Amino acid sequence: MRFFCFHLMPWAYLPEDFAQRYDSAWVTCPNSLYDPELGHPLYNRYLDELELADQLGFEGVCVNEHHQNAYGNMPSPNIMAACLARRTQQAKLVILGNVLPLYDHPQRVAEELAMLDVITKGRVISGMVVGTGMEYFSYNINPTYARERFHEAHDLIIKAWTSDGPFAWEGKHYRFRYINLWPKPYQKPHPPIWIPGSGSPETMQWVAQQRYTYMVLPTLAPFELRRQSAEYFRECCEKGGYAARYEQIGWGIGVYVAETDEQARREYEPHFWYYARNLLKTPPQLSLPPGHTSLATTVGMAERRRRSRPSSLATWAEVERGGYVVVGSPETVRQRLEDYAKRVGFGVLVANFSVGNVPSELTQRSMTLFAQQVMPKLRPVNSDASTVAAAGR
Amino acid sequence: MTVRNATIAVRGRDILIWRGGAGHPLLFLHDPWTYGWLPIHARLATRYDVILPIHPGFSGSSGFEELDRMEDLVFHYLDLIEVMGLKRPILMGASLGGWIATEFAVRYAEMLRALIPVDPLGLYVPGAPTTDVFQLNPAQTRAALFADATAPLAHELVPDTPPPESIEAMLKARQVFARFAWQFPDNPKLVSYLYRIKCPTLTVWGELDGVVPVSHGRVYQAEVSDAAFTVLPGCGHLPHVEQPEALANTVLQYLERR
Repeated sequence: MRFFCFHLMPWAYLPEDFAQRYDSAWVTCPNSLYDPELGHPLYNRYLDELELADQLGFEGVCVNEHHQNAYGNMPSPNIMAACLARRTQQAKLVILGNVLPLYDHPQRVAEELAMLDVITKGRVISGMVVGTGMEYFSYNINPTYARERFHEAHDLIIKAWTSDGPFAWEGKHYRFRYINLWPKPYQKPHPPIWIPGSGSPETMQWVAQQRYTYMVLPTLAPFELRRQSAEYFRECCEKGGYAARYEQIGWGIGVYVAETDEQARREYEPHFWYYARNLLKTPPQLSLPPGHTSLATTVGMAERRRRSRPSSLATWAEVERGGYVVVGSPETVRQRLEDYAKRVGFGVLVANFSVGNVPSELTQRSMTLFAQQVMPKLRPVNSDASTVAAAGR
Repeated sequence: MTVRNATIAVRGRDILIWRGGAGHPLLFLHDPWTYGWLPIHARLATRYDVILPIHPGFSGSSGFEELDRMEDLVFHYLDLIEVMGLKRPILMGASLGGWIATEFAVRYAEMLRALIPVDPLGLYVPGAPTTDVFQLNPAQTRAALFADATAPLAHELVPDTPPPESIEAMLKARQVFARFAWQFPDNPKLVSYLYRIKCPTLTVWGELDGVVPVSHGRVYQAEVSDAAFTVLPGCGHLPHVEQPEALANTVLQYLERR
């Protein structure tokens, strides 16, 4: 198992009655609720937590991109990665990911990631995403082109990283006479690519074809739905004529560790509800704009959303039973994650320790307990290296 | 009067056409929420040969993948008029269809006997913004579209939960609509070309249109040389759905006089 520490960098100071007063934490959520005086320590605290992850021996730290919302305050994930680049020593910088269709110049994404990769001597893992529906409202990008733009931008970036320039790019959405990347990425042929997703079949089919890593996002969906996604991805790989490696499946999940199960729940639960009821609040017309996913997927997603609406979660028992997050003593967390890992077959764990507005000292204690008492025991589980070593013996 | 429907080929696209009545051809370009034969078409068909083609990409018609710009739809209807051999049709359109009709008319007015935009999208009028219908929930959408949002018809066109048998058609309709009308359902330069419309033009607006302000109609009146303008009281964005009798009377009387 490989371990990564994910951060959403949520806004931690929404008013208590937020969910009653506002219909969305995205797009139209008034930014009068943002306060830079509070934002300054918050950003730095979140960055401290990711730096701690590096010191604790996580293989990498993960940031992502969302716009105009209270859920995640990283409109530019590459800036967050740049902040971390020279303050971390070993950790890979996982950008999960750049929202490619939002940009009219995909070479800017290629350039920034190449800069980070060279500065860090090859510590970058590049995530690329279509982005949530909400981003298409915030950036006025026509969602009916989301998939086309994503694929074309991806192809352009890969070519920019791997081909000698200058070359011309003549596509439908992007046309450039001169693509000529300075700098080129440090890693050859290019930084590893992870594609996070929330279950849309067309994404999984494509990721399987590309032989990239598919990361099942820690969206609040029950374990079983997310397990089915991983299973479908594995089937896509098999259809493509190969077996998915463990490290081709990433598992995003909210994790919280304390001394005892009881203590863990007591400390974590209120912050979980802050996350589920406030930060995830989005009306369906914002999250599913037309064309953002295929017709078939949209029908499926609407159904899936009805079944897994976090807003319909009411009790902690449901949260536990559904496997939405993994919370407990080090031993409980180890057991649950080992069980999940064996049932899902993931070899990359992307743990999100800072759900909602968990105070920093609790987050840091939870991360430390995890790194010291859970990680060592889970490390041998679903390891491609051990499979290879065993096969070689 | 009999209504027939058939699928014809227009430059490789399969296009579903509804047609009824007899007389001078009246080509009706539909709005994004209705894509079939309605009472308004039957009323107009008492006097005209009403032709209702379903736009590419809506349920029944193919060709969505080839559509990128409004110009693609203008060329599509140029092709369709040619393929069907329509001679100087009256071009009527509602909402999105009214926008297409206007874009057609600024280029090819001499091909038209008359232009009848009904609550058309398409104009950019500073100070009179259109509504971003894509960020509305079903109840808000009904309130924007209809003077009486509680009417059964409003719920039928914009249900809270689409019935399984119509969900695909609704998603397709939204997808085509979004391609042309995402966030800003307009062509910022269209107002400056309205002077090109040299055929008789009747613009009709629902007084309570919650999508496109009535003031856009006054811009038609000011910019088009041979323009009539009628406001239907107590009516929303879709007069052909909400007040088909009143709209049909207005249109038939106007056309009688011309």
